[in-house]
Amino acid sequence: MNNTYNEKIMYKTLSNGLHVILVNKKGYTKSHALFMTPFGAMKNKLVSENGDVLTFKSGLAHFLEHKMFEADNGGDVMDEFSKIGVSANAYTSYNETCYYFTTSYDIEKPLNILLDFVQELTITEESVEKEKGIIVQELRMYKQMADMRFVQEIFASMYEEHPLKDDVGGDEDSVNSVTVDDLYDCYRINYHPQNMTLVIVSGEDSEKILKIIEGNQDLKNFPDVVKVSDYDYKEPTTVKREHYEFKMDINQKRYGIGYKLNGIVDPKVRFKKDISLKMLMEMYFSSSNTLVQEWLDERIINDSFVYDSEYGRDYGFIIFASETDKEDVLKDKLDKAINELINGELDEAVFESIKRRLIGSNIRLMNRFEDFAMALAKARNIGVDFFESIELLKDISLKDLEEVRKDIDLSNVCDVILSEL
Amino acid sequence: MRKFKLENNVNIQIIKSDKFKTDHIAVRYVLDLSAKKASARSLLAMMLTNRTAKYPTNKELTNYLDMNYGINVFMNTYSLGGGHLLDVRTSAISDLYIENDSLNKQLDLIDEVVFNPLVDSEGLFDDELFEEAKMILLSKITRRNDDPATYAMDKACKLFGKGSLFSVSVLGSEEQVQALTKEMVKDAYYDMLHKARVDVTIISSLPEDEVESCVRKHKFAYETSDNVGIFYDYKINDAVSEEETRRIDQTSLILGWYSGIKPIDDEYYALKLANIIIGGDSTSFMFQEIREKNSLCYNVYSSVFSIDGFMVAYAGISYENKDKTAKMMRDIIEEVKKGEIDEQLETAKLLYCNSLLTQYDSASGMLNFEYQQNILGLHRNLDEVIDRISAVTKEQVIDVVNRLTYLGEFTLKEVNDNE
Repeated sequence: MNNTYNEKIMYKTLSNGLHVILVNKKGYTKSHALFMTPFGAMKNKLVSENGDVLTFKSGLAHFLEHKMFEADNGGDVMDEFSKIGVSANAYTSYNETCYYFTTSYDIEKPLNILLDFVQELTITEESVEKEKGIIVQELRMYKQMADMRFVQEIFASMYEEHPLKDDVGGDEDSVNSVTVDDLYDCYRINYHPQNMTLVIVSGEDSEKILKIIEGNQDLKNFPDVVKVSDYDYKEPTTVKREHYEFKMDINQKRYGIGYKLNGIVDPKVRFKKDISLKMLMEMYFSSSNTLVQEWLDERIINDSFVYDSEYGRDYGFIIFASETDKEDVLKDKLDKAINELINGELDEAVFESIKRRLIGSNIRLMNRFEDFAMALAKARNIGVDFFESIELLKDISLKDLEEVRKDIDLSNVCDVILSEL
Repeated sequence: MRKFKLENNVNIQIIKSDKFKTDHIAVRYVLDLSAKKASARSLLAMMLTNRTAKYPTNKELTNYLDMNYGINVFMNTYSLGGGHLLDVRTSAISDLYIENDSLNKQLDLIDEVVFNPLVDSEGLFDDELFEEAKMILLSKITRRNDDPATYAMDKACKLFGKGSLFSVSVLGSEEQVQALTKEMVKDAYYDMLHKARVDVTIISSLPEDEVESCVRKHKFAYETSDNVGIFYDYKINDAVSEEETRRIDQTSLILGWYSGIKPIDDEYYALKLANIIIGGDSTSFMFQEIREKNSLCYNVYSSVFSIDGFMVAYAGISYENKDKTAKMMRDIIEEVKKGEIDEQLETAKLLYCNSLLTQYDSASGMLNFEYQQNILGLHRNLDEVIDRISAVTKEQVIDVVNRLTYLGEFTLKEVNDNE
């Protein structure tokens, strides 16, 4: 039980290595289960115990996610969920692949379906070929979404080797080259229970749920886990393309800028620096500051202005993007603003208000089963407890922000322009 | 749960719940939807929650919200059949977790946003605020057009709903936004506080008596109207087929039907279930036939516009497969009419009920469900709705599918750089 937020949480590692996190939400009917492997599009290379580099095709994690839903009789696992009235789905990001369902009925059947289909891959050459047409249409759907494509091009400008340069789904060529063997190899290495986390946020009793999970897992045997470690990409510190322009059938020009930063290996240090940098960004670029309002008043940006920052193990970035007709002016303004963020005075009152907003936002997150489950799983992946992370946030001081900005090198920068045809 | 009316006929509903970490208030103003007034109302919604007389800059308002652990305040506009909904929402961390006087702060904030806008002595909105909101509204319209799937759906709705309120966009057109004046927005503001039907729903962990006593200190509007209609007449025209071309990577194909069934009709739940069977889920005929068996697309679905009585089907495909996909969609409707849907119907009932139960376990889902019941005058609770869904027969589903009139198709064709 976490008394501060009245959340009843149970953490358990099963004998096969599967990490289980159960949250009992009093007064709720529904349950949300999330089964996560920390294998996403960012891990298209891994290193085996004997030092061999294992290479996966671009988009393979996403292709595998599609094919996991194939039942052993050739049918579709989604049908099994639907027949008991349960909505299920999955997604692949750069950092992980997740399978999940939400139900307001008894959790036992869908939970067993989830555990069973994610823990067994049964595919045929024919079904893999058939899936290619579907995935190609998915890639085309995202490719014609201007904002998604635009952000992707900023990453493609920043990175030379790192998989962030590619779309999560790969490209049409990489998808069309996938074989049954590629998928089995990828599955064997990345879906062992020891690597995976199961999070369930539910109105149902946690002890009951744990028994269902243990009952399911006790019947299964798994081969020894394939021990792999992260691959160190030979990513240069400089950006791949300093300036890039492309066109789409749109009516409003877009301008974006990306600053390439170094990654941070230690997860706890990274977590703190990541929050500190995000707070700095909020202090300068949210409506807590007058800067963005001034740019709106001068019609340099509109409501599409977005900013983001992130530190990973082997990457880091700050990006900005907006619809604009005044890209040169915006470039100049952003350049001055980001230098001010590094060198300017930090306003303590604004810092305090942003800290409170973020604390509130973390408390709100516990209302949303899907986001709560995701936050718990992600926190576990990086080795920081979710509730501990709220306490860390409370403890962050202006000194931490000073600390993080000292390390930021703004010299590796690129910009991208998307224009009308 | 408690329901009562204020002296000015504002409908109040209080739901006591301590399962959320936040307290929530929704204030809904509904006016008759009008193409001429749509843009002014959308602009109004954007301005009211951006800054106020007490917080004359967005920074000052943001700092106040942030210092209170991120109180949320939003105002959006939607079409609600023949009604135009102006929807004010606030939420704040419950006093159970942070001593914040959450309910009173939200009620005061709604007063500030609704009754204390940044206007001059003649009631005209601040110049800078007005021009900024206009620029942003124009950007929103452009952005919708830049997204091919959204653009195609907007065009299809205009095509199928030609001559009716179904074709009206709540954002308005670029020309309408350009032509907006501060006087028009002042009129829209007057209508909101004098001519709308107003419903307030509150979810709080506090006892209902305490919430009622707090709420009664506020008025939410000066006057209200009970004569706002959300249903409208629609004359079915001959089926149409239109095609447009853009330099995009995928073709959007949209087919439309009209059912004439409203959510107050007995057949409504049969229509919702028919939609799930046709294209509303991964077990649906469209998903299975078009995506899974023929690999023609990634995204395919059908959807019902509940209050308007329209149904549309969408698929993102290669243009060469357009005719094949459209035929499959029409054939599926004919197939469902033959009635071999026993298994699909049972699945659809389970899925629909699960979705309602799941939504009701969130504050926004609860607010939406209760409002829908109130505005329709049905006042059914969740159990009653689930009983009605469970009682739908196969014959009723076949009957509603037989009542679907085909309206035509709209295609947004992809053209590659090589063509």
